Amino acid sequence: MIAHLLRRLLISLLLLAAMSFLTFWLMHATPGNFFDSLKLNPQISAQTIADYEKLYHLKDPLVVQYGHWLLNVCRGEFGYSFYYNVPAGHIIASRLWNTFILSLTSLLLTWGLAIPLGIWAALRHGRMADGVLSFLSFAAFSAPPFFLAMLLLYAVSQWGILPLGGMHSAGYDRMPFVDKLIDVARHLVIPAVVLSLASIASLQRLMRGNMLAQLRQQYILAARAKGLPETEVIYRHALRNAFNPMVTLLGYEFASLLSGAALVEIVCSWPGLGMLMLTAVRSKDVYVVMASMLMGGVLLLLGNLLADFLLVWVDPRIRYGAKK
Amino acid sequence: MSLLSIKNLTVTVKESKILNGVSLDIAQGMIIGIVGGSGSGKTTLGLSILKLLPQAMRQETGQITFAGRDIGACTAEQMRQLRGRDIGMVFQEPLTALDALFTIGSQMDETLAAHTDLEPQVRRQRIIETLHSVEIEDPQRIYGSYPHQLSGGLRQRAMIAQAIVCGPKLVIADEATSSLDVTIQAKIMQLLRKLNKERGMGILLISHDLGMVSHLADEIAVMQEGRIVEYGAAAEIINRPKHGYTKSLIEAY
Amino acid sequence: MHITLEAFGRHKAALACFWVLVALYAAAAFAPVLAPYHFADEERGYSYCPPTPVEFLDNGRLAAPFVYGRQLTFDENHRRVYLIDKTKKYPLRFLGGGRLFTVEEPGRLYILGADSRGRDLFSRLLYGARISLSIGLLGVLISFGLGLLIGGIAGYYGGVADAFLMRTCEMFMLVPGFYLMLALRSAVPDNFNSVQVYLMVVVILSLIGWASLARVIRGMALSLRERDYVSAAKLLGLPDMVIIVRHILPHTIAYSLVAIMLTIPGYILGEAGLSLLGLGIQDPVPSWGNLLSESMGIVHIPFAPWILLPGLFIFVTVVCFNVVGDALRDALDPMMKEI
Repeated sequence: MIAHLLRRLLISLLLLAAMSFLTFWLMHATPGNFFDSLKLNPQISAQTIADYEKLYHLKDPLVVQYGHWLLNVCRGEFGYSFYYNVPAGHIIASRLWNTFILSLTSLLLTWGLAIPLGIWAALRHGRMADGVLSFLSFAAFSAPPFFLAMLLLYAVSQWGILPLGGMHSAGYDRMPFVDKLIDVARHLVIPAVVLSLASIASLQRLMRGNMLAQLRQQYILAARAKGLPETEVIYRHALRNAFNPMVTLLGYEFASLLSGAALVEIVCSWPGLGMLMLTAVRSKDVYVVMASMLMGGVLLLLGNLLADFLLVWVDPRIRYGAKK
Repeated sequence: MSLLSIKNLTVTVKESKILNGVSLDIAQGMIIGIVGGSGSGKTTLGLSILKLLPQAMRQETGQITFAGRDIGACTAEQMRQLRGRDIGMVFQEPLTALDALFTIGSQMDETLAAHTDLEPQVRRQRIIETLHSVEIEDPQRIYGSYPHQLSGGLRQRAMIAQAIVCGPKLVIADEATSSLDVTIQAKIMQLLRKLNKERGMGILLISHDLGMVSHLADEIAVMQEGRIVEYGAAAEIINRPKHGYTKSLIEAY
Repeated sequence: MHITLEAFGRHKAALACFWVLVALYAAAAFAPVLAPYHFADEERGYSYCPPTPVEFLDNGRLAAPFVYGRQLTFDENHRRVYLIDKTKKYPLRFLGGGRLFTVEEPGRLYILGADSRGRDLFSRLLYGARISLSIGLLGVLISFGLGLLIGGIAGYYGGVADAFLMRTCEMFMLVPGFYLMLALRSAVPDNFNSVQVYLMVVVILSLIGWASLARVIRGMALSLRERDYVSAAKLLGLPDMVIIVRHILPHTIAYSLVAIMLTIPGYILGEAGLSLLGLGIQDPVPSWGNLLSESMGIVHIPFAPWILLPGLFIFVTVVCFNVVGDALRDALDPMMKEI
């Protein structure tokens, strides 16, 4: 099992490298780079620009540039952000953390709500409550997240109970620690809710479906036949079997949250990786784009590996294998 | 005294009758065979006793009395206590009848915990003893094993152990040996006979295999399309069958 | 297929959604006729003008439909207020200049209100529908073509080709979609004209989604190639490509149709997202996405709530595709839950 996971890791790393090279090539496929805008600035001498270009090997062939970049990445250096004027690594680290907070909160919200909802719906199968929830799920699943964010921000602007985007209120730095937590939490509400809604809807349906499928199985009949209390039958046996295959989703969810979060971050002005990527792309801040892509890819990779690992860990049939 | 008494049981699903006026009387400690083809209603009979009919089926008429208690009048909680503690059930395929995610030991333990107030160590002891009594050689290892880790025969013994761990007066064995090899079938049959003798435990042996049942059962009920078409001592049924269907069953084997 | 149509028809909600989609696409197709104005037709004096209802009663008497004039004033907070000027009546004109209905100059007809530059939202929604609805469809079709071809080849040949193609798929799937979209977008020069921008968005969208489709197709091809009719075809000496296209792919049609229906919403949302950020379809060409970008500055919404309408249209479209796709999946094969 470990061998299999290691092999997957290796292949994925290679693929990541391939993807990064593709991106690098794409970023340079269009004429012009960041320095073109600098060149228009009369205050910066031609010599300075020439020096910069030499420093970043900008005149070298593409493959060489990529080679330098890759080597630096292996050393933990992600290049320099021309736009922010700091090493790319720094700006990414802080934004990454913010995106991570948002994704994690969304993940907790999603799983915390969807699982109980799914079980609840399965136990009320065929009744009106189940139908209503189905309908609501459909609507939630189809609503464009950015639109929902706009609506919520608008609603909030009328009622004033939550901040209107961003991550910190004015005067954040002077707040005591607890107040800081509350402040961030208040800013988290809208983006986290918007991000979670679609996932809650689809996950809940999945949970419901799995529960219903399990409740039809023979071992559930057998459990009742041995006189187990109904709560044990449902929550100890059916639930665990229904939930098991979904554990892998945890990994994939985490990975896909990154992608989905980007647009919502932008609409809600949440200072995360998505926002960063956008400004970097707009200003052709090459190394930030590369590093963001890489970060996204790595997190996706970790998510997938986590999913694979969890799948093996929770199912004794795979973990221990069949012995005869 | 009769252990289990079924009077005029009719069970329907939609328009058709799965069981049509079935009556049966089982004395203590007897092994009764219920033999029939698919669709004869034999499995439904077993489920009716435990009041575990699928939602689509309904009991229209009939009265089932177990150890002097009217099953129909029992509340849900009373039925729950009855199941597993007084009546045990063994299913055909242990791989699907046991929860794949739990060890044998924990599945037997939860049965004991649901019906007794024994301490965990006492429960464990009891389980090991029960595993031993179903002729499992290494009970400690089996206690901690998962169903998929055991061979077919071992699994079925474990399931039997689970059914008898609370010391029930009656065990319903629904096609308990049908998915096993012939040689293992014979061993399991011997085991059932041993348990019947040692514990005075009644067995309701439900199967399609008349020949196999006749080796073990004291009396046999032959079922066809929801009715008992013939009933008698095992030897009688085998040597002097009266009903056409019984004869065809004998000829088939 | 007869059985499936019947089962599908029983699903009333899906049928209703289907017709809604047909109506939307029809409206998009006939936009130049249905829309009172061209999408770039500005009138700065009518910035954020509220919707102008069509009147049928003139002082209590029935009259031919017309619209009152609007007078722009400012209230004490320097905000725009449009007062209805009943002295000016502008009758509706039908089928004038190739459009179904317009209003006599200098009156303006704003069925759903105006944007910041006085452009009619209703017209822009109709023209925007052409872009948004077609891009999604085109993008999915291309993704599909790619996915079918690559998945079919990989599944059929197996071995090295399969390994290589699947690694490529994994590579594309390794990067979060939105990031990939942005990165691809950054590779495109900034001076594209509107047609090129349109094509660029289509290409970008299709490159995001083809990989997962290819994997599913490959799985199906793998299982299908063991079937007897494939062996028979091989024995007959048919070339491989013919076998793939004529014998394997048609059996994936059912799954493909459902997958297409359920993938289009993602593409519509993808285009909307890109355009919303100013990276997709550029002003003045409207798409539902860039129409929504006006709402990004939340400030305007309380005074001109109609600028949120494009989002509603996107929502309705996505819901309809999802409902139809779901019903189709149920009708085609109740046990086909993997898609």
